[in-house]
Amino acid sequence: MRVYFFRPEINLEKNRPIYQNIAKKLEAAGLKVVTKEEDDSIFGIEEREVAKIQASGESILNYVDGIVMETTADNPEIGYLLAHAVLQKKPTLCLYQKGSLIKKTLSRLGQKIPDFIKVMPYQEEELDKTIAEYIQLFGMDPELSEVPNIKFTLRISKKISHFLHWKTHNTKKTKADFLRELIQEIIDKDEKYQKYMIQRKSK
Amino acid sequence: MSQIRKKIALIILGGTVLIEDSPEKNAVITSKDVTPWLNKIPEVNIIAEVEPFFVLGEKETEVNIDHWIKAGKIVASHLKEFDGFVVAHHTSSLLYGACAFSFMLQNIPKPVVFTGSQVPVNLSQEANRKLFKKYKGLGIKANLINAIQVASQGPAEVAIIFGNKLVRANRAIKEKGLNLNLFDAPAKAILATIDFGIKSEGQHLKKTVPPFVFKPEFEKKVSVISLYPEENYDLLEWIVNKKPKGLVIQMQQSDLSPAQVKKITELQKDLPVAVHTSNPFLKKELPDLLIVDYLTPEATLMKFMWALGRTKNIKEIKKILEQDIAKEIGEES
Repeated sequence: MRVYFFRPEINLEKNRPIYQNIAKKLEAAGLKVVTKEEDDSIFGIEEREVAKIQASGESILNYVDGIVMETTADNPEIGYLLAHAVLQKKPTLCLYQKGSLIKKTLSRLGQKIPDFIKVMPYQEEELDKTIAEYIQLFGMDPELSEVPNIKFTLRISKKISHFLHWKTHNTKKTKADFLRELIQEIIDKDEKYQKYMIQRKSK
Repeated sequence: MSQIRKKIALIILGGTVLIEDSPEKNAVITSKDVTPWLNKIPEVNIIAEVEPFFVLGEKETEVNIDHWIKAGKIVASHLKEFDGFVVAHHTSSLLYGACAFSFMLQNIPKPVVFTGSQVPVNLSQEANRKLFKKYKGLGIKANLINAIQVASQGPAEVAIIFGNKLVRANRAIKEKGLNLNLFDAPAKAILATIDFGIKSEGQHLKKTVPPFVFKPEFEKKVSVISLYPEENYDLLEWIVNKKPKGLVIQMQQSDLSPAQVKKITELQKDLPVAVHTSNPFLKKELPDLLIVDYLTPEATLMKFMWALGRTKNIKEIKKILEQDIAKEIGEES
């Protein structure tokens, strides 16, 4: 399960150890951390995958399960990411250092902050607890991630291969996309599985 | 340090269909729909303070030059009040509108970003639902969020954003069919790409050198004709008999036949004629014709109309067309 971790570039050198610590704790909690580096390169998603997303015109945020932001310093990127988080109903954790004021950008979420956005103060020694709450609160069960990041090798016959080639030739879809969508359709239509998922959630 | 909240003007010229629910209920049909429509997009106010200006709704008449001039006047007269401008526009004629903006708002010191929804207003609820499932980004919401962020901090020029690509308006090319990245451009005219934020190309962030000038004069009576090798001249005669003030010939072939050259030479005695081609050698072969090989077809038409709005003298028109007004002539040209 992937989360995008945003940290502002203001006072980066001074805050780097804090940001590194947050990233480490997120990883320790079982999350795969995606970051954008100072040179604009993206760490945590393969370059080839980023290029494919760029070419498709899709939002790269569709390819992460959640967002974690360090919001102690005000930054225009925070509002932008929050807007997309609201649009995509993306589980989002806005962290700010305990004792600092909640920034204006966060206050623009209004009185009623959507329940998939959590604004939490943190102290380094309580970070584990805060992250655990985030994961629990948003029900981010790694088993249910929709991000296709598990490599799966499948042996198929020449006949199936021929069909897949024919089906995806001259389309913007890859064979993998076609198969993923087909499986997703089966999942959507499988009432037994849906029932099982509801029972599992209610436990 | 606390950031000052940016103020963005949102000019509405169609292209407002939100993809969720029934499109008709989720678009600006008349000016009365603006506030309820904006209330359905609370995301934009997280980024900036957005003030709407209504020019044209969905289902009304097709956008034309008068609407663009009206919208251009809004930008020119409110330039100091806002940090940037976003124009929501029907996708069918967006490219022409954005080109017109780039010529009339010269040396604009703030970003003007065109965007819109690719979903038509009269789509059935079922078709809309299917589209939403397959292409979440086709509605205006995601595009609008990106456009407002670009208008808050992006390059000071007229640009278009769809999907994750910000391109210079007067060098943009429209892709065919349903495509999230609806507009593309040559590499040097791609101003930014979107990933987890707006990734601007550094050189495009340079401030434009003043002064800003607003020149909204366009000659509206200009005809466009596509010229094919087997062209018989009846259609051309018919158009000329309608007495346009200018004619753009879009060449669908690489060369002009001697008969075609003769005909165009005859025509341009009484009428300014611009011949748009992708053949870069034609201009040297036919120095007496006004050959345009350095602009997109849309930029050619809008720049020609704009030049005709300033002069009817063919030599001056040629001079204006060859002059780089709004970075429309690529460095590679």
